[in-house]
Amino acid sequence: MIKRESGRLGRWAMGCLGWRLEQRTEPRNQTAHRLAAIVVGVVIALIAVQLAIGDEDAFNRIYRGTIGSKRGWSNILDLAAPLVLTGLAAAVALKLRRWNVGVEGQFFMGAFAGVAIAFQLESMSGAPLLALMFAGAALCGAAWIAVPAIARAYLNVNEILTTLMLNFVAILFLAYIATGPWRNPQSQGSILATRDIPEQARLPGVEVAAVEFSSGLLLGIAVAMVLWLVFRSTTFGYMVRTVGGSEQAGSYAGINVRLLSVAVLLLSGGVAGVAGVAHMTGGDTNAYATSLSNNTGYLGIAVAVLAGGSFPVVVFMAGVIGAIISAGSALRLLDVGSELGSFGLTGFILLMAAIGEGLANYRLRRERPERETLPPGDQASPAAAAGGAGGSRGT
Amino acid sequence: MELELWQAALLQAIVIGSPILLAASGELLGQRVGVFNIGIEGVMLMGAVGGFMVAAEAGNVVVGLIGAAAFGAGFVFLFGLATVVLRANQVVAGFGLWLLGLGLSSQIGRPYTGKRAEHPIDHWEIPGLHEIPWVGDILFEHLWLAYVAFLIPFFIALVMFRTRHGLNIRSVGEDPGSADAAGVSVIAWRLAYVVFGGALIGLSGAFLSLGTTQNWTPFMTSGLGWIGLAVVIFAGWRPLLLIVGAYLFGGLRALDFIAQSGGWNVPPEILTMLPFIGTVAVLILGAWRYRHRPDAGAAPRALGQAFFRGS
Repeated sequence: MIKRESGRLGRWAMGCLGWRLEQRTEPRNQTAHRLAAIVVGVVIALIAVQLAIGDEDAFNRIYRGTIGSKRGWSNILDLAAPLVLTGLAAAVALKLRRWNVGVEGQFFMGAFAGVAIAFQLESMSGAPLLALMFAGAALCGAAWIAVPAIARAYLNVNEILTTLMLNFVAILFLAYIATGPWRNPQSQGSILATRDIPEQARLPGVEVAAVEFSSGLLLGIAVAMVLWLVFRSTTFGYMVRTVGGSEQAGSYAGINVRLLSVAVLLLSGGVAGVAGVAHMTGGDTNAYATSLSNNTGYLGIAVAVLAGGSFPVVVFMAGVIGAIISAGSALRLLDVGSELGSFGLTGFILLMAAIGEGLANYRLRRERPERETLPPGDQASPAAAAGGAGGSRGT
Repeated sequence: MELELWQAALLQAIVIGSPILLAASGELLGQRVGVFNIGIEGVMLMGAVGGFMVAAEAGNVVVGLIGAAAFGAGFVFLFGLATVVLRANQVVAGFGLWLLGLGLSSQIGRPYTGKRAEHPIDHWEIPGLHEIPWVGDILFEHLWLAYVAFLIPFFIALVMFRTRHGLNIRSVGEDPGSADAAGVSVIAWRLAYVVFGGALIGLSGAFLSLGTTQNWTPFMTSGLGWIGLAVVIFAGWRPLLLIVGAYLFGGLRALDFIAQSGGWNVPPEILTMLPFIGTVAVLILGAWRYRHRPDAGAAPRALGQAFFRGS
C-alpha cells in the first residue's frame, strides 16, 4: 500500500509536470540513495568552490594537496587514522541502532587514561607500558559510557542526550587536568595541554612506498578486521544482528536484550577510548591536549553514518573524509578558511546523505492528468488513507 | 561602580543566560512538535554572523536582528526539509547542520572578522526600577533583547497551554497519528515550528555578536548552543522552567570567572561541569520516576520520530 503525502505547493508543481512523489511503505535501496546523494553533494560542493573562487588554480591545488602528491597522501592518511577508530566506535553502536554521540568524550577519556598511566610508570620500557596504556584507555572509554548504557538498557533513557552531555564534562575534565600539576609550562593561549608523554610510549610512523603516515591507521584497520570477524562469525555477533533487526524477535529468542545492549555500548566506548590513546601515541600531539581532537569524535559519527555502519566501509569512508579535510586546507591560501573544508563540506555531505536516505522512502510516479482534478478532501480522512488512497492510482 | 561578588554573579548569570534562554526557547518549540534539532550550535553561529553582516550593511540594529532571525530560519528550513518533509534521520541531519554551520559561518564571516559592531543592541534602563538599591542596576539595566528573551517563555507557555493552537502544537509532538486524524497537517506544523524555532536560535546568536561581545569571531558561541539544548532537557520540556534553567546554567558558567577573581578553592571547571552532569541526572531521575509507566515521561512522545501516516 502506498500513500501520498507531500506539501500542497510541491504537489501542485509536480502535478503540472504530470509527476508526483509517493510514499513507500518500506524504504528501498537506502544504500544506493545514500551513495547517490553523497556524489551529488560532492559535485555541488565542487561547483560551489568553482563559483566562489573562480580561480583556475583551485582544482589544481586540491589535486596536489590530496591525491596528487606523496605529501598529500600522507596528509590524508594521517587525518584518516583517528577517524577510522572513532568511526568504528560509532559503527559498533549503530549495529544495535544505538547512537553513541559521546565518541568525542570517550576519545578524550582514553587519552587521559593513557597519559595517567604513562606518567605513573614513566620508567617502564616501551612495549609493556604501551600495552597498559591501551588497556587502560579501553577501560576508561567504556567506563565513560557505562552510565548512559545502563540507563538506556534498564530505564530507557535516550542515549543520544546522555552521551552528548558527557562529552562536555570530558572536555572540562581535560581543562581541569591540563591546568593542574601535569600542565605543560610552555602551552599558551587557548590550547590546553599536559607535558608530553615519555619517548618510549610513542608509536613510530610507518612508511609505505615513500608515503609516511601514523601507525594508528594500521591499528585502526586491524581493529576493523577483528570487529568485522567478531560481528560476522561469533554467537555474540549473531545475537547483535538478531536484536539489531528486531528487539522483540531477540527477546523471544531468549537473548538478554538489556545486557547485550549494555555490552555493545561498552564495546563502542572502549573502541573510542583506544582511538584517543592511539592518536596521542601515534599522532602529532604527544600530550593530553585540546588539540588532540578537531571534532574527531563527531566526524567519526559522520564516517560511520556515511559507511552505513559497515566496518570495512568505515575504513574507506575515513579516507574520504580525510581527503575532504585536506582538500579544504589546500585551499587555505585562496581566501577559503580551513573550517569550511573540514567542517562545512563534511556537514553538507552528511546532510545530503540524510536526505538521500529520506528519499528512499519515496518513489516518483507518472500521474494521469485527469486525476489532478480530484478534490484534495481525502487528505484528512483516515478511512480513505487506510483504504489505500492513491495506492493503485498511478499508471 | 564597584560590585559585590554576588552582584557580579547575578549580573553575569543574566548576561550569559539570556542568549541561552533565546536558543532554548527556539529548541523547545522544535522539540515540542517532535523535531530534535541537534544542530542548534551551528544555527546560532549562522545567526550571529548573519545578524552582524546585515547590521553592518544596513546600518541598523533592528534590521540586523531581523536578518539574524532570517538566517537562522532559512538555515533550519534546510534541516526541516530534510527531516520533516523527506523523513531523513534527525540525528544525522542535525549533525550535518551543525558542521555545515561551523564551516559556513566562519567562511562568510571572514570579511567581518575582528571588526566592531557599529550599531550594537542598546541597553535599556527600566525607569524607576533600576534605581532600587542593591539589585536595581543588576536586574534592570540590560540589553533590550534580554527583556524580550525573558518574556518569550511566558508567551510560549500561554499559547501552548491555553489555546487550541497550542493544543495542536503539543498533539503533533505527542501523538502525530491522532493529530493527523483530527485534520492537523503534521508536516506543515512541524516544519513551521522548527523553522520558527530556528529564527529564535538565530536571534540568540545575534545577541552575542551584536550585544555581548559586539564583534564577530569564528566559533564565538563556544558551546552556548549545546547548553541551550541541555536547558530544554533540564527543564523537562516545560517553557517556564526554561527561565530557571537558562539563568542557572548561565550563572554556573559565570562562576568560572568569579571563582578565579574571588580566589575560591573550587576548580572552576568543576562548576562549569555541573549543568551537564545535572542534565544527565535529571534525565535518569525522570526515567526512574516513570519506570512503571512506559507510556509516560517528560519528553514529547514522538520526539525524534519521523511521521508516516498509518504507522
